[in-house]
This record gives sequence, C-alpha cells and structure tokens, in this order.
Amino acid sequence: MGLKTFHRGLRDVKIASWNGVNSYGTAYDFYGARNMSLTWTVETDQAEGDDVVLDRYSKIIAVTVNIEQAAVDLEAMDMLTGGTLVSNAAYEDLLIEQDDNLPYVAIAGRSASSDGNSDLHIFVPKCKIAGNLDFAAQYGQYSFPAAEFQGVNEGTVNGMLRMRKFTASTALEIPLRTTTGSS
Amino acid sequence: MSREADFQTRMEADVTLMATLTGGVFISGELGREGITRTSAPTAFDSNGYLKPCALVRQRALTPDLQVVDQIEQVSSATQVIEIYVYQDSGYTSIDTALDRLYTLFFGYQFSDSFPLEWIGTLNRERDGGALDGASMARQEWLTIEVIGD
Repeated sequence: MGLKTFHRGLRDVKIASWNGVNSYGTAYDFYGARNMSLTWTVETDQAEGDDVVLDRYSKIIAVTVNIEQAAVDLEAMDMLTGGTLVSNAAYEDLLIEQDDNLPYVAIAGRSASSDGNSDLHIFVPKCKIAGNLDFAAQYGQYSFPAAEFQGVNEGTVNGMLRMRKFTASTALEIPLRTTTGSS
Repeated sequence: MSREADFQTRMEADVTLMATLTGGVFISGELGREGITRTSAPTAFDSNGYLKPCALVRQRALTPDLQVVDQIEQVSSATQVIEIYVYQDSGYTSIDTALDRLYTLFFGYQFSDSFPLEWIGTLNRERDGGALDGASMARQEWLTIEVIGD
C-alpha cells in the first residue's frame, strides 16, 4: 500500500449516462480531453468560546468537477445536457429546449504515471451540470467546450468520488475496472 | 540502456517502418562524430555506394525541469529531447513514409520509465550538410519527461 507515484497529464476521459446505483450507459470517449479538475466541497463550521476556536466541524458534502474538451462533440454535449441530437448524412443537430432536464452522468478520467504503469483512475459516479456550459468561437483560437459539474453521493458502492491506482497500464472504463489491462 | 537506444529498439521492432528504412536505424552513441558514413555504417549503403533510406537517433541532454523534486529520496523530474534524423539519397518519398510511421509509433507512447511522449515538431525537406553531403534529410523531435530516482 501507499504507492508513491508521480502523475502527469490527462490520457483519457469518458462519460456515461447514469441509470442507477452502479448502473451506467455505454461509456463514451470524451475526445480530445484537455482538463479534468476536482474540488472537494467541504462544509465547515466552528464553535468559538473563551476567545478561541473550541471545535471545528468539517464534512465533504460534494465534489465539483470541471472538464474541458478540445473537440466540439455534439454527442458529448447531448449526453451532458439532455438535449435532442439528430444526425444524418448532411449534419448533426443538437437542440436544447427549455423543458430539457439536465441528466445525471458519470465521469471518469485517467492520468499516466512516470513509471509507465501506475495509472491513476478517477471516477465521479453521479454528477450533473452545476455551472455554466462554456463555448467560445474566437478569431485565431480553438474552441474548447467546458462545463462544471457537481458530483453527489451515489450510494455505498461508489460514493461521490473514487480514485483507483492500478499497478499496470489499464484501460479506462465506467464503472472502473477491477483488474489491470484492457481486455 | 540510453533513451536513444529505447527509440532504436522500438523502431527496429516495427516491420512496417523497417520496410521503409532498409538502410537501418542507428544511434549517435554508436557512431563517430560524423554520423552515418560508409565506414561507420556500411549497411546503410547499397552495393553501388548509394545511401539507402535510414535513420539516426540522437539524444540531447537530460535536463531537470524542477517540477518534481525530493532531496531526501533523490528524486527529480527531467526532460530530454530525442531527435530522429531520417535520410535517403534523393527525393523525399521514403522519408515522408517513415515520418508518418514514426508519428504513429511514438505519439503518446510510454516507455517503462517515462510519461507519454510528446511530439515537438518535424523539420522536413532538408539536406544533410555533413558527411552525407547533400542527401535528403528530415528531423523529427520528441520530448521525453521522466522522474529520475522514483
């Protein structure tokens, strides 16, 4: 235990629809993943008396997840927004209407280690867009869609966040694999 | 094993690449200061003395990047640029084919002691100004990032 490994970069991100506790739709590759950042949301309070702090209350209540993608992928946007995606030979069309409900999704990411083996996999089993979904088209700049999610507690199986460090190079799956490798 | 030898091993193991680089893959540590010559690498030349498509891998200095440092554990992260020179006698057909294959072989590839490789760039349509005297040349550069001592 206590694998001391160094990690760098973001090799892979996948998203899947959340169907129920430890039950997900087919994992979809988040093509050109640029960023997956996590912030534990901590609720805190303190009891003061006699001019000092007597007690500290701290509890992790949620996880904030930000992801950013290099590709403009309407299928990924559709999965995240609950819109309506239509595709034919001529176009893909994503329609977002006022009655669309933002769905819960699962997000997983993978970061490679310096020894070429110890993959770090991060899994947020149940989350929903909780901030603005950003998109910008600018002169001389790539467009990188980005969104902020809040991960909530799914239950006892996967909780609100799971980090798993494998001892060999391992494919990213939703839910996370329990064995190393890719098959 | 040196990093340039790591590259050489992966290149020589790829049948598709070696079908193009019929003259072989060499590393700077095994050649003299003039690189590929008829003396240092005779297999790179055909029976008429013309240069066959071939490659020379050369590693630059290993440089600490100060991103990861632990003085007690003697751990330090470092970067190193690897240059792959691809040659042919004239024209660039084989060079272009080899460059495409090298990109496939190394983009995101991870050695057992490194992070995934990063492509720095490709300089093509060059001519060798050294011992190969005007032979067609291209250079592809890769960045390796590793943690020494972990």
